Amino acid sequence: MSEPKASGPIVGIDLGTTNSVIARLTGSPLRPDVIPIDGQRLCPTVVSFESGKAAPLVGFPARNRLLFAPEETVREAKRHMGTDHSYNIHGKMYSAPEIQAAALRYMIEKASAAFGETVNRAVITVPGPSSIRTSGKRPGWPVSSRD
Amino acid sequence: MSQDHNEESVEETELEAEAETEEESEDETEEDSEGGLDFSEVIDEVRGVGEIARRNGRALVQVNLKLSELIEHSLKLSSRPSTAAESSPAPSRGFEALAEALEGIDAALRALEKIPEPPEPKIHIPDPEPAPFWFWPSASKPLRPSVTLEPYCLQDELAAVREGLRVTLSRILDNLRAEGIQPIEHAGVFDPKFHRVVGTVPGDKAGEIVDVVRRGYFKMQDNVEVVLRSSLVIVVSASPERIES
Repeated sequence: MSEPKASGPIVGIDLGTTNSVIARLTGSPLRPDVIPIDGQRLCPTVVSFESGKAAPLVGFPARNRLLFAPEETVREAKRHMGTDHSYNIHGKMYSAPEIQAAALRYMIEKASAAFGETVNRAVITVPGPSSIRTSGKRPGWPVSSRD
Repeated sequence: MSQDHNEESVEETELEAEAETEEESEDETEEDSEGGLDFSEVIDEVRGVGEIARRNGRALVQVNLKLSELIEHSLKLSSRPSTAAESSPAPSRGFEALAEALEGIDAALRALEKIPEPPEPKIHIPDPEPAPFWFWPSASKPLRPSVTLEPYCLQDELAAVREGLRVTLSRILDNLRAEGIQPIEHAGVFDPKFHRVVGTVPGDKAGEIVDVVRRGYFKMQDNVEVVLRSSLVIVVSASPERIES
């Protein structure tokens, strides 16, 4: 496994079952500063795949669609982490790590946009089954884990 | 940066001082540590405005008092959200209390929409009984019509309350618009960015908004719409066969 690139900001992500939060340590003394995503401090860990669109919706827009298009929308994917469960959306199969990866990618993109520089490294606080590491790898970052 | 912050804090303390002088006589609202305002009491009362007003006339006086209180509160509020939004990372933070108050007004207006039409008074003119020919006319039954009135109805007063609420609402919305905060539109198909689906009904046009449960608000920030509070809507279901099964 390659080591993470030692540059750019490091963010901390609380990848929750229902909501996630992304933050960064700033100031002196260091304090966690929540990075608002779409103007909100919380980002629901919900992913919704609109038919005919490449990028899935993540966060509040996805949660807002939950009742409208329940078969296109996945929530609480964390519950299926480490299992063989897969979601059939528009005939395509997604595993729980893939869903989580979509949510992570979205949050990281927003954070990168907020900083004006690419976020390469993140600390993700979750109970650590190996599949979480898998979902961390998918957005294309190296993962160094401490179990 | 630090100068900006100082200016903000000065502005905020001024506002707070203003708010305190206004509150001296009433002492109804308490400010929490975050600088937000607690309107739960007033909101609960305003929510019940329609019902109270319908029940009896004495309550109407109470309603008017509450209404004027609310206007005072809302005027205090209207200058708030901007400072709160700028100092906290999430702009929705300082807006919640105001949104609650607006929701209270919305609820009251909705209740007052259903003011019943004034009932027509029922007038019954009895047919005069033909008096016997030997009788003096005054001895026959009097020709007084009997009028049946429905219980006293407060049409005009209710309409006045409604008008007051409308004016209050439009005044607050005008102030908010000056701050860049706008109510969310509900025309056409639902947009997941602004509207949260809280219910679905079967129908032909999938995604069409059928009903608005709660009005939402957004703010323009650096040419990006930031949703402060999403609308709660009921839409036409995307998959009608699912509802049937």
